[in-house]
Amino acid sequence: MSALARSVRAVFAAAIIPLASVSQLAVAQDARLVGRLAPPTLAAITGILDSARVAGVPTEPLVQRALEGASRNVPPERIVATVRAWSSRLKTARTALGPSSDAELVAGASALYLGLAPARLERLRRTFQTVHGSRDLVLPLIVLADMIERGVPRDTAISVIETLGAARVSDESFQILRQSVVQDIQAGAAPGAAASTRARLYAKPGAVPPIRQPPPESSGV
Amino acid sequence: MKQLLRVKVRLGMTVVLASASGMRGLAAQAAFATTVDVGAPSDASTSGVLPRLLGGRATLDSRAWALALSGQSLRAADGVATTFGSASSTRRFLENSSLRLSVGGDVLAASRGNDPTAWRGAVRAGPTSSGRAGQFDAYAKLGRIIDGADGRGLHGFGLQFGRTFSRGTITMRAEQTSFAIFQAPVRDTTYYVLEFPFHSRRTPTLARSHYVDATTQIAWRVRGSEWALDLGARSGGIATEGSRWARIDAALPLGGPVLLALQLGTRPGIPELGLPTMRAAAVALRFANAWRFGGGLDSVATNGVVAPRVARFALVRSSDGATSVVLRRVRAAVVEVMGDFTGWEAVRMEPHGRDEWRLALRVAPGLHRVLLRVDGGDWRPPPDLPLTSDELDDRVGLLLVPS
Repeated sequence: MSALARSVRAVFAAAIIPLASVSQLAVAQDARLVGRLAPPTLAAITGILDSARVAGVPTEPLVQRALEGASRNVPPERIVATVRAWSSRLKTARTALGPSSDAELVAGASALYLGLAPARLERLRRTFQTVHGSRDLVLPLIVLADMIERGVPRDTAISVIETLGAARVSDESFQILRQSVVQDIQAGAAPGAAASTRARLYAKPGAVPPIRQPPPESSGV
Repeated sequence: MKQLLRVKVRLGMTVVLASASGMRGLAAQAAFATTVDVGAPSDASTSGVLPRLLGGRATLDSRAWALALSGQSLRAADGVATTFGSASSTRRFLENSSLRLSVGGDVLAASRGNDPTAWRGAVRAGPTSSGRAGQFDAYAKLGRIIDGADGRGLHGFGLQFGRTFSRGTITMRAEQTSFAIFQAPVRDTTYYVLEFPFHSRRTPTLARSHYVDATTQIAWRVRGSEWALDLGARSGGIATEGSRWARIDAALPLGGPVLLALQLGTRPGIPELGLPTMRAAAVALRFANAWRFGGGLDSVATNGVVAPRVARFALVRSSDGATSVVLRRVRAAVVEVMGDFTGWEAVRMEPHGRDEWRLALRVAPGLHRVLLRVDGGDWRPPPDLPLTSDELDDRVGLLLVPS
């Protein structure tokens, strides 16, 4: 290759590489965000999306958070901070959980926000993998988040999920546990006591009855 | 026909034991009643609407001392229903003890009738009504009466059928009890009892102790109160028995932890006990702080007749694969939803019936955050969904759509 040819190639490369970046940026700009966010916010969010994409983090949850912030009239800087934090948590969740569905990563990221340490998330994954095989953690993590939101102390809620996970409790049982705890709390029980007592009850093998109404009163018995 | 009228004013208070057991929501109840006249115990209205109570009741009667202990711990959440009771009195009709345990739809019951030598036991198995529209109930009972006097037992088998219809806030249950085979090898008489028997060999009415009861209950709710109308008819009855009866029960939250329970009407007689049809009127005040009134009626199950009226938000998938989000039991003029599946744009839900709202849309499998707005109010998480939050602050509901 002649020196001239090398020079021409270098010039082309110098011209094309920025063009390619611009093109990638344009692709990264989610059409749903255009018009919903102010241009500076859109640019910042787009940058976060690009980084996430490079890191292998799912971008759809990030787009949704930006849209949610816009719909709820959240100040732009907080939208950006939220999306950035979500990107970081998704990355952490992926590290802790390993290969996971987007739903599981989102549930994991939510749990991290609510105070679950990455190491405990990783331990949860190991526990469930050991006990349940390939079962995902989406529902247990949703239940965990819900309990914390309803006032169950964080450590208690985490212990409950760990205990039930180790006890081979099914997804259905996790749902029943959540509903039971919610009802107990509505009935005036202390959230922590409700969760831990229910967990003790349901951790026993075969202890979770189906949700059914009480039987009707019968004149016969 | 002997008419009995009872006007009962019951005052009581409830002491919550929930804190001791953590979360069971159990409460002890103590109440005193003044009985103006005599009649059968009538707890039908209140027993159904205090599903979280474990209680005992002491009754001081103006004519005779009576002690009645009854309890009920109905768990809407896990379907465990336990009722036990014991009553003792100088009055014949109160000489009854019973134990009733039911888990899910199964009932194990034992009771001791007014004949001191007669016991009965029954196991009932089968699905029970949960107030769902069009539900058909059928269950069987097996019973045995051990007659201590001659050492022989009675064996029985029966069937009970019912069907529940629900529309809006009205639930109707029709039920027929048909105990077809109940053989009593006493006095060389084989007879059939078409209701689970309280058997007394000294009761002359047993000479014609076959009858069929058909009962219908219509229950409905009006602004947090609960009303129930019981209608019944008996065929093949005993001469001293009325062939029809009707009773209305009402449970009226008065605000705070106070419930007013009313009952008025007639009750069917129990020929095996020699009890005629009775007229009964009862007024009761109940206090409970384990139960949230007002909206609380929406958050607890009642006696299985009226389905819990709590608002529900759910995803419904039809057979053709189309999906809709459905909000049930919310009365409003406008309901809007927004979430991951609407691109966080507010979308109006369409009214569907009286208090149901629907929105047909494509919802991809995964975990979706969602908010709801009713009548232009604040955006809130939909009822009954798990909650979460993040740096955007307010809580949102989580809707998990399986793939």
